[in-house]
Amino acid sequence: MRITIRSYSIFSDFLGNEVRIELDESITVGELLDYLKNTYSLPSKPEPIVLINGEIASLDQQLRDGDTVYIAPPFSGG
Amino acid sequence: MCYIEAKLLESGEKILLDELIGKLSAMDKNHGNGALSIFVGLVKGELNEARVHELEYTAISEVAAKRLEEIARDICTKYSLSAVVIYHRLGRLKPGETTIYIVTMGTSRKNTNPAMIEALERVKKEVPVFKLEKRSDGEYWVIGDGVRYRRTLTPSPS
Repeated sequence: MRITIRSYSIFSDFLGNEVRIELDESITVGELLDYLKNTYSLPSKPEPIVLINGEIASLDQQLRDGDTVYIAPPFSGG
Repeated sequence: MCYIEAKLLESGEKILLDELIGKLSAMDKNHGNGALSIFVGLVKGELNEARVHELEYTAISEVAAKRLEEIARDICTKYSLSAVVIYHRLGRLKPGETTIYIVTMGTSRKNTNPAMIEALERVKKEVPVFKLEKRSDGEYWVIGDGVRYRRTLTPSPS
């Protein structure tokens, strides 16, 4: 299955703006974050907020083929 | 009936407040409104004894635009207002330039002032907008409401 990851703010320094990955089997959001920490040295702090297809996702949410995953720190608008 | 306008602006896009006020006022045919509150955020030129050269705002644009509209709609209903306008700029902004506009119109300042403040606080917490400070002492990612991480890496290529 194919996942598109878009990262923002501090996380874009580690991942770039967009990464596409192919997986043999479905994984959870938490497992994806572990993979990104191991592969791209994504920092644990600040704690990432993950959105899937525009909605905030929990760590145990299962990813599906074609999902777009947004990884961002706490927001800082205004 | 509540008039809602919420959008992301590019850094150079002009906002003419007099025109906006005139447009909102003209919608009020019976002149039932007694107050219009406006908040405009500005880029500060100095922070923690460092000079700020520029702020760079980015966003998850498709989500941010939707959230701005949801917040405007909620605030309008909660405070029984007749209009809420929220504009948030993206891109590179210099000190003195505007970052955000929040306009609330209703029967009294007792409604419009707290509505404007609540809208601002909700935008800060709920809208996926991100800020990079470019300062005389380095570049800092602003995380949440005020925590700063010094930028130590060159951005990865996309």
